[in-house]
Amino acid sequence: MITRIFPRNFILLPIIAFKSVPKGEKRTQFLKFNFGFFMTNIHLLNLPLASMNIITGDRVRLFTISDLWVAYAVALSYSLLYLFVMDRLGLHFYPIFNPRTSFTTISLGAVLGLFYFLFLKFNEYIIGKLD
Amino acid sequence: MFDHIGKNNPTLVSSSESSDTSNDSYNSKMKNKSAAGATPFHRRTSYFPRDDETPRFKWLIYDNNGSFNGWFDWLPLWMRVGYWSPFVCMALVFCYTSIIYFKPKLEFETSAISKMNEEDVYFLGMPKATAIDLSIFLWGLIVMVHARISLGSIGAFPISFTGWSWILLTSRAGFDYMAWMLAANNYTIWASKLATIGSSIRLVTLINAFVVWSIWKVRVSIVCLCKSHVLTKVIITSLSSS
Repeated sequence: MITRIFPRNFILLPIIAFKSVPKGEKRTQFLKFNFGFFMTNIHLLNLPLASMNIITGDRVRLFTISDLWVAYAVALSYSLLYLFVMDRLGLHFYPIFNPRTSFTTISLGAVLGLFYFLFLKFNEYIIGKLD
Repeated sequence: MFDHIGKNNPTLVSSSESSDTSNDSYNSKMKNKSAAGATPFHRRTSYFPRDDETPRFKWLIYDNNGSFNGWFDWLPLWMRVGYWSPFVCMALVFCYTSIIYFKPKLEFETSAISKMNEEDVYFLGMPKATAIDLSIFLWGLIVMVHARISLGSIGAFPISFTGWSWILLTSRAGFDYMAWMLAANNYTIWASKLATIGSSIRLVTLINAFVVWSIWKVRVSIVCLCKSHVLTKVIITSLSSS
């Protein structure tokens, strides 16, 4: 798995990013925006930081159905904000969750499924670490 | 049945017949960009026809064609304003009902304080895990303060999924650190409460971080792919071969 993830994310993607954006001001702006201090932290360092003391470290514990329920509750709380406040203000950050198209039901289902899948996979990983 | 549409209703988009003569360039620009074209259903407040012409409740907070400050002009008009899909409404009702109906008995292991006596001192009287929590908490705050200073406004941050993800990450570490701190000072009731809150948001912190981390790279990839047709072929070939 690592042999696939590592080359694609840390070798292939930067090459694509460099090659595809034209040289000069545009490339500088593109890289400056996407790899600035703030963006790097909230989009790249967030996963290693979130993993610490949750799936790595001395205080690791298995996730339970209560954890999954909280995850769903937070996701649905965000959907309340997105659909009933942001949509009315004219803020459409995530068009795949647009309530005006039926395809959103697929997106919703996919998110709920992804949460459950990750719940199982993280537990599998933790069991492997504890053994 | 639809005679009332377009009459005395300021929230309706005017029909395409008046687009060329309209003085409002913004509105005509919007109409040209709409993939759906002008239909009387664009600004309807309900999926079902209603004879009542005096709306008791205004759905849109701003009459801005569903584009705050024009930031979302790139979206078709039908995706910005108008009635919601009945399927989405039903799915949402199902989800909101299920989350309440299927709520389990919530139990969380307070791992931040449960092993206090077993952990070795690592830094300033703290065990290693607490020191890590404190570092993550402070780093999370530093990033947000830095963004506020350097970007000027971070109004979109607390309402974005990414923002929620970062706030959860920082809060989780903060709650666990404070729980340990309170427990070390014999405030066991509060320590237990904070440790429970910190523990309860572990999975959601991790899942949100994973989603943001993955989607950001997908977004960058899409931007890059759109700019490079040659590279698209290379990537499709490499993916199919693996």
